[in-house]
Amino acid sequence: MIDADRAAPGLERLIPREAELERLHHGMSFGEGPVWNRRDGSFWWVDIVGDTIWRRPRGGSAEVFMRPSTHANGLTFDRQGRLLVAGWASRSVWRVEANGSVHTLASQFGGVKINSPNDIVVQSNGAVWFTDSPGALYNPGMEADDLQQYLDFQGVFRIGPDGTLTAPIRDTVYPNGLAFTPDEKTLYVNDSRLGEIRAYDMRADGTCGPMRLFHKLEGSEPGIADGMKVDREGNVYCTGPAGVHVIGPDGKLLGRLLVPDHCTNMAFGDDDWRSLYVTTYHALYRMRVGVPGVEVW
Amino acid sequence: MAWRFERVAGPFEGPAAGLAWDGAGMLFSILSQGPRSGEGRILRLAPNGGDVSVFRAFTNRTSGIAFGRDGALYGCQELSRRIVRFNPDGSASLLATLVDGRMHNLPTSLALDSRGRIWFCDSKSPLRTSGPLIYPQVDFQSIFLLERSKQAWHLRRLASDLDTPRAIALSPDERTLYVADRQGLHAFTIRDDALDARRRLSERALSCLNVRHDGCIVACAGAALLVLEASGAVRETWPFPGGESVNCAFGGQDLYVTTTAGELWRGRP
Repeated sequence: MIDADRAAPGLERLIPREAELERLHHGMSFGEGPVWNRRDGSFWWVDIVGDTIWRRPRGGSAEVFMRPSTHANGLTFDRQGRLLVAGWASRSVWRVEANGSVHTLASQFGGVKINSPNDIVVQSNGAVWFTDSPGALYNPGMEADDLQQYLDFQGVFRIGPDGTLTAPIRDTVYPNGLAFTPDEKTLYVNDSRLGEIRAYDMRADGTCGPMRLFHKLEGSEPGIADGMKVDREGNVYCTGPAGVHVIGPDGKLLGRLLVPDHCTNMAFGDDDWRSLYVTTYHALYRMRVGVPGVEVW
Repeated sequence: MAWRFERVAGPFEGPAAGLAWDGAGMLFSILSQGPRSGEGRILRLAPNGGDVSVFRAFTNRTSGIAFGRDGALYGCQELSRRIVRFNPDGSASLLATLVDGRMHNLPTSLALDSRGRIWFCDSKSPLRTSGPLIYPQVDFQSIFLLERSKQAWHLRRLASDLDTPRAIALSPDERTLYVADRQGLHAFTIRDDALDARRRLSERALSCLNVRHDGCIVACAGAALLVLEASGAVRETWPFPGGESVNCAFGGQDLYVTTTAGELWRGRP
């Protein structure tokens, strides 16, 4: 049974009291990038420091998909089922083609290198959004080859369906997790440095409205705003002090799941999208939840 | 010698710290607070026109800086707990940060020798580290040496048992290493690429050490600059009108001083 701070009665329906946290894999140095592949029922994640993309086939055990991996961070799938990678130390976003080759989607903006892509999500129209935190430039132990920041902002980029790279959000300090509401009218972006989740209304032209503060994370325990996902009812699941914070669509905290080890990200998965997979520095966990997550393409 | 000091740049948004003369202009680091200002930058003063330009932005609190014989600038990037190489093409490179699987702590000051090796002092600090600590940090405060063999840099610990070392300098013959910590000024004899005998030359707390060609040490001590003999004896005391000094360095015939108020001052004889 998982421990939780239950700040509001609404958490019970989302995270049943009898929910168990099952450890599926361990031994990583810095787990991240969890994503469920709906096409074959496999689960994927990374070890940033271990420089590996991991895959766990349906019913099987973990196997190495790619090593080295440019210290890959966030993973997702596009509408064609291709793996998209927030490349962290490669300072680029890249895609793995069906034949296994790698195709770079974004590496420069305005003629200079971007920072270090952190997490990534695909919109229903095919646009790819990713956070561009400067972590691989500054964080010791997980560095890019070139440590210099060239952009004068740390924001959120959009790769349009036509491949055009734009920077709709530039007012974040350390943008990290990002997720759309189920209707895709709002994009949530969390900021590790500020410890908050921001909301941006989406415009039809691929730009965003002004920032609204959605939620300020609570707690003094270890843990930061890092990975973030949304369920089909619009509840937000975000890493933070002590584990995973569950926040209602109104921005109010429903409760915190107390995860052992330092929690880095999470992803909904399994065929009914009602399992919440959680990565920590050293392990991958899974638990059953009450409300399915927003599906990944 | 009497110096006439004047403020030539600043104040900037954060303390001014390291200094490095590039042969025609003076580079000085600014420790700006906050990620929006890149936690600091390195500026360059062109002495003739007095123009200040940005040499490097987003330096993540790079404090001590020094040029190597390879023409590159090296710096102590405090929030990233490492020495970095600011390459002439505008990029920046990692050297080495691990000793026996542990990271060193926080470097503040470095000295490069004629063989391109980097001597630096490293102390514990309450300053936050950028990102998570992947590797544990060493539990001592030390002097380290970075050496390059072929393409790889290697890190070696030379001495510990220091009390928050913050300034380091080599004698002109590179046989003596001077280190300032909270206990005063120490001199180590360099023998076979290692530190041998240690002598305590002074009990004064000094924030910067700069060895002149004649072997004397020019040091910052708050609102005064001291000239010390190689023995540690004070030869001269120069009042400094610019407030609390951080670092000093010669550029041509001039003496430049950085201050905690974020200013660059220049002294002329």
